[in-house]
Amino acid sequence: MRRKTVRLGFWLVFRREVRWLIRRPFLVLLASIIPIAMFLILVSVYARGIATELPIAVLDQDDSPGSRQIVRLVDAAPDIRIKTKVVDLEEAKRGILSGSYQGLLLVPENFTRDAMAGRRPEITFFYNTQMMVAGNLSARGVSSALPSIAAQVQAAARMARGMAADQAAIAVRPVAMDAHGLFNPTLDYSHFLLAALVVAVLQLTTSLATCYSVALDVETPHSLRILRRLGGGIVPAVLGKLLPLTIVACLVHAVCDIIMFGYFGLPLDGSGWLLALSALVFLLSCQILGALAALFIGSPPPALSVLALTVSPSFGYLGVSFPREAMNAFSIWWGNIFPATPYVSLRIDQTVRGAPVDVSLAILHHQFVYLAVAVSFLLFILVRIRRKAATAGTQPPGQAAAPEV
Amino acid sequence: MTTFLSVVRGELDNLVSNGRIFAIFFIAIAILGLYYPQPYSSEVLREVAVAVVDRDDTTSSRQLTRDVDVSQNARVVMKLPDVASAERAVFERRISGYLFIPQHFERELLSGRQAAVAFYGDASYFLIFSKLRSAIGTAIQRLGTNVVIGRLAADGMNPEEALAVASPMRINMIPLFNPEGGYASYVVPAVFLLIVQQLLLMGVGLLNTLPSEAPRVSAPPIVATIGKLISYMIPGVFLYLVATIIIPYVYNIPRIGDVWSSLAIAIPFSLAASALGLFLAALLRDALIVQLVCSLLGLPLFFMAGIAWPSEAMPELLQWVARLVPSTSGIDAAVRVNQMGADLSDVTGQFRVLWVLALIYALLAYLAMRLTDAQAEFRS
Repeated sequence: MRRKTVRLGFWLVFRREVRWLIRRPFLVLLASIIPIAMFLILVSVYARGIATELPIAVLDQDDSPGSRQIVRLVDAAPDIRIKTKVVDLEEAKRGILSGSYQGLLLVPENFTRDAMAGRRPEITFFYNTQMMVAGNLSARGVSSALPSIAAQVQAAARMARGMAADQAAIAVRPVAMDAHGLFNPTLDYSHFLLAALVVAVLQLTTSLATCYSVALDVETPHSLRILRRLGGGIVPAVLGKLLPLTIVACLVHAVCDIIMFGYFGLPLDGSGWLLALSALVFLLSCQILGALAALFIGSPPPALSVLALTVSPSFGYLGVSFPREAMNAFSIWWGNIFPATPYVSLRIDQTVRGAPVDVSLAILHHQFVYLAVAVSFLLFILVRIRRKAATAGTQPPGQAAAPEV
Repeated sequence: MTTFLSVVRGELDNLVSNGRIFAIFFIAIAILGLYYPQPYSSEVLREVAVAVVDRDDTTSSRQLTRDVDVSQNARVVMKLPDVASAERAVFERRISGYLFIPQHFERELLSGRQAAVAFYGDASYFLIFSKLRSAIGTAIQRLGTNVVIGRLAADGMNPEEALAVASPMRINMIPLFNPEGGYASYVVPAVFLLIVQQLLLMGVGLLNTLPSEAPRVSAPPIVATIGKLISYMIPGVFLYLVATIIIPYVYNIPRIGDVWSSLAIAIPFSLAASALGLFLAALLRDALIVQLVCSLLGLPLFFMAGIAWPSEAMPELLQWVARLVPSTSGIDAAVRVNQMGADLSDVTGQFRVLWVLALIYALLAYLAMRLTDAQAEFRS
């Protein structure tokens, strides 16, 4: 009997929430079209995949057949292209400062002659580390091209002395390193960044939308009490209030994932059910976070400001661009207040990294603990609001909640 | 002229008397200044953890392990018996890579054949992987060069000549402008200019959508637009100075640029951002929506600015769209002047874009204001 009223109450609140959402198109947009649009913009940033052919300049002070050969070989490296030949260092400096190119390859005077005479001339590459990604990518291109050029020079010298080509190659390089990029053999970072950016976008929009919707109830006198009565208890009222947006968020997440797995070819090297379960716990946690902000602060504008101010910088704390292990203690600790942090790890583990399930189960466990703590906190606050309202008689619950914080 | 001055005064009154707007313009930057850079404050990523699977266990293999360990980018944290346990440690994120030295490594080296080692690095992170590969590559190169010199010396060549044969040219990679390679020096200046833009958009947007307590000064739209934009220069330049001088100072981020060139960018940048805010306010009309839109725009605008990902590598259409946002040219110009020491003449392109944007958005805001006035007149 009791079960039936609970179920009925849940549906009453659920339907009220759906009607409410339909009357507030901006709230629906915030939960649906806006995250998809944001995701599409971010996707288009990385749409070209690996950055290739970054422009660099060359200053060839030697201008001999040997130095020209080196310049040609560097130009052939896939990461970079030689955009201009400059005549002096001043011109090169201006070009780097203004952003026409990312670096300068300097071949000194008499390079070939010195190399032949065994004087070990120096070849220099200057690169812009203020623009770190572009600078490092161009440096990677040059530094991967130059050693093989040096090896070719050596091998050519030995072959000139009558050594066979394969023997010369071994003599030049007695220790061969076979380097493998695990989980990402093509060194294409778009999968990692986009996998995390989807999560960052959804965390922001889901928590803001829930916060907005809950704050509208907290702000209106008696509204929380009506919800509770309608739901026939706190738990069914909370579920009925939150679930419509959960469904929207799940659909949006599914659309983004179809783009990621379908169009961008994000590999699914792990367990699909684990990924889905983790996504659900993540979205629910975002909602609870939004609801807590609404309950603590009350009226929508400040609640949304505080939440946006807290959640917007979370991308840095996720440890995608900069690894979490290298952060200071505060950041490692604070990163845990974002539902996205464990979810991003699990998502990357179960897609690109293809980690064993038990490694990810530990993270999922962490997510469940977070959700449990957040839910108990939410229920605790709601119970307190009800008690206060009961002792204060007719005082509206929204205002009764205010002195607590 | 008097109406113009009263617009400016009215706007400044509003700006100070409304607590929320005052907080956005003058207090939020302090909170964000403390909060935002924390993940990057350790600046440099040194000593990435690696493991060694040494199946040879000889003098040469142990020497290679030591060479990797002493390099400034990597640290050998464990020696593991097999590849499976090393893989497991990578999955658990306890190490970021491992070096596999096969059996008979030393025997191959001594016998003049090519000895092979394998390096497996976690390529999930661009920074970690490139650091690790260069650390291990350098250690192996050093071992290789020593072996070649040893062999040549055994053939009777003098050491200097042997070195020249083993390594005929020196390769020198010189990082410019951020020589420590600090991640904070790279991200923080750019992010804070974006924050300045977001705060200006939000502050100006709210100022023009929230009901004001003081009666609005009635002025013709052209005077109102110019008057408002002039008064927003105060929070605009203030925020710009905090972002380009105080924040870098607090986080020890190099700032070598000329202050006057930097200030010259502050003017069109804050004008363009506030004019965009004025236009957004006229477009969206509702304070809460303005606030939400501004908080959502931050993430995509940052990634469009060409800092996280080089704009050369973006689709051309997106490069054009990105240029319509003041932060794209503003961040580029300000970082080049402040952190790289460029002159204003090096960033004339970006500087001109900012002025053009300021004019376009001011014009759009003016037209929107005229439209609103006309509608109001029509209704009454």
